[in-house]
Amino acid sequence: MNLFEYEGKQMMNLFHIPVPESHLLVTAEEPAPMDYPFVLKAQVMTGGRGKAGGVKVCRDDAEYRQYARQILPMEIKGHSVHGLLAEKMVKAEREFYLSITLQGVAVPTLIVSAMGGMDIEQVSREHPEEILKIEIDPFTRLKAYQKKLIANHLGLSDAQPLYELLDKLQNAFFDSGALLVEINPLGLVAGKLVAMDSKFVLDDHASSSAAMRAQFEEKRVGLYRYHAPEAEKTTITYVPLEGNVGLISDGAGTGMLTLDLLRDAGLSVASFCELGGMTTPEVMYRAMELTLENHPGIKALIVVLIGGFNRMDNMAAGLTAYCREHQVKLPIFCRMCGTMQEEGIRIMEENGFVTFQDLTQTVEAVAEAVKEG
Amino acid sequence: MSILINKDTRVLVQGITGKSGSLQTKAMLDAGTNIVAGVTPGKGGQEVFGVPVYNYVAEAKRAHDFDAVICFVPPKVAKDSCFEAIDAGAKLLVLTTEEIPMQDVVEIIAYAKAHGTTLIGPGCAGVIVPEVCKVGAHPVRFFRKGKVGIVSKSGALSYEIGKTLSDRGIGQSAVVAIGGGPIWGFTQRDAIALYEKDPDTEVIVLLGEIGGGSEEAAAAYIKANVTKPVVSLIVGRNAPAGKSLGHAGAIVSGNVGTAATKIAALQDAGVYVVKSPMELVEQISKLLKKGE
Repeated sequence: MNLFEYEGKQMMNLFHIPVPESHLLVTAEEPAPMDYPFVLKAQVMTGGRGKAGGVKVCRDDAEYRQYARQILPMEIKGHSVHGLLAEKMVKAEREFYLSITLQGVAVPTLIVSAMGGMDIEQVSREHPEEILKIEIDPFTRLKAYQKKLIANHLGLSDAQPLYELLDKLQNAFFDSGALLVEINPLGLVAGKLVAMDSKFVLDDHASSSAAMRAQFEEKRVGLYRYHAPEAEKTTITYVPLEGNVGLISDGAGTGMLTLDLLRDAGLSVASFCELGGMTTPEVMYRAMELTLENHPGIKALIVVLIGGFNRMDNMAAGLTAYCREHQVKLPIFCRMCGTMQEEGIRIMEENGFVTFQDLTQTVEAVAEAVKEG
Repeated sequence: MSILINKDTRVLVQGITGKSGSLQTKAMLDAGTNIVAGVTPGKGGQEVFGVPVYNYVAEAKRAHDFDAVICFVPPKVAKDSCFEAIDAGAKLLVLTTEEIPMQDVVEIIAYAKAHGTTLIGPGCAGVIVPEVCKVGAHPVRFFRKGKVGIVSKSGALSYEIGKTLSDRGIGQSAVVAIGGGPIWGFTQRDAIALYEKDPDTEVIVLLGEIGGGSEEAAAAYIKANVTKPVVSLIVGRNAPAGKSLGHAGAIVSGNVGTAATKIAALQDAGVYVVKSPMELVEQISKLLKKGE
């Protein structure tokens, strides 16, 4: 779960990381929430909002009203703004970048740079020497010498505030089971370190942050034009594409392989749908529903099943139940083999479906049918 | 010989009384695997297909010798179960559980590494040595004994390719599926290193996916260390950018982890890169003939 800045700052608060005073606004007409000047910041799930005009300093009522009305309806890089954070102005003597991440790395990695306030990808490309990366052992956490390396990299004369902040940041990362905690910029203000922005990504599977995630979800309902994404209750991965063949598989690898083979055969694929770890008849039924109801124009459906953990009798039960209840006329090309395949194939045949054994032949059959049709 | 497991491997099953655990225990027994004990807290004293069940791994350890553990427990308790298996001295730990919190995975991998346990997974189908035994979910019907060593992230893809080869008379020395990532206890490179040393393996098959950099790491390893022929199929060539297709690790962001970068790295390492299962069969047939 990606957090909005205002949610991230609540997390920072929880872990005693200093943040400037701020108030969340969900309309452009609320009275000024604090004394001028303050900064008005778009609450949006993407970076680069400053360049897009989503961050403005307000010095009086007129400016505040103008900017609030301007920013709130904005779309930034395809993402809607869902609120405004009015935040006390902070004059930082220096600005740093600090994060702990588990995204794209195999171990928790702390990343620090003295070039705060800039896009870290850009710093990494243009000034790689400015970036220090430190791997954190989950059992020891940051060691004293690693903290010294970080202080040294930033050239801090008094390292004590940094050491304290690093401990709090580690707590925030590990105690919330996070995938990313990022402060950019981290401001040095009169000898103190203040988180001027915050980016948090929580792990949807971490029980340590389950209560916090639920709380955030609940409060998001009150945001400006915010619609909670419909939560898929199964383990299905469904990705709409563009084309006239629907694709369902019981494995990510075989799904991707089939997608490649279909495209290589000159076919266009309408959707990718993979069942994931749950393989009950209900999950197969749901996969049929997602694929057929979202793509009524498809000419054929290919279902690629190869049972290891999952049972073909369950797959056949879910697939045939959907087709029966919805009187599906679409040509379905189902490759069915593996655990309980005899039973699965029997159910399919009883319901009038032929099944295939070989994937290449299944793809060829689809190609033939679609080209004829 | 083979890699990771052989006919002498003694196995303990964690989560043996669960739906998946008991079904897979039966399949492993049928495949010839020597399962000596099972564990499910609170179910000690029961039997699953004749395998005695204990409450704790340490308890099972007092009554039985085992070297490998396969874990079918739910995500929330996976970390502690793995610690328990590692503390009991498991040399090989196959972790099938998916959706384990990422930080737990990090701890499990670090703990296994520190204790010299080979951890395969998480979220993996495990390993099979055809016609000998298996510690994992590979359906035996797709595999036959032979000289091709396969490593795959995806379980289903490893069955698919095993079946494709077996249907055409090409057997396998071992087939290991390491999980969809994005973090692995045992990598494609680790498997390739074992196949290179395995006298039963003549051709190595690397089944890769878009996303991450593990195929590139394997390519670098192959270039420097591997003398046996390697054939590779990379799936997800036609996946849309920025979308994960079922495996958390299978996502392309920017120019990192694209099929093109992987294929280029593998070709540079002298790997035969193929586009389909049929091309894979052709290439392997040629290489096996050459070896005769």
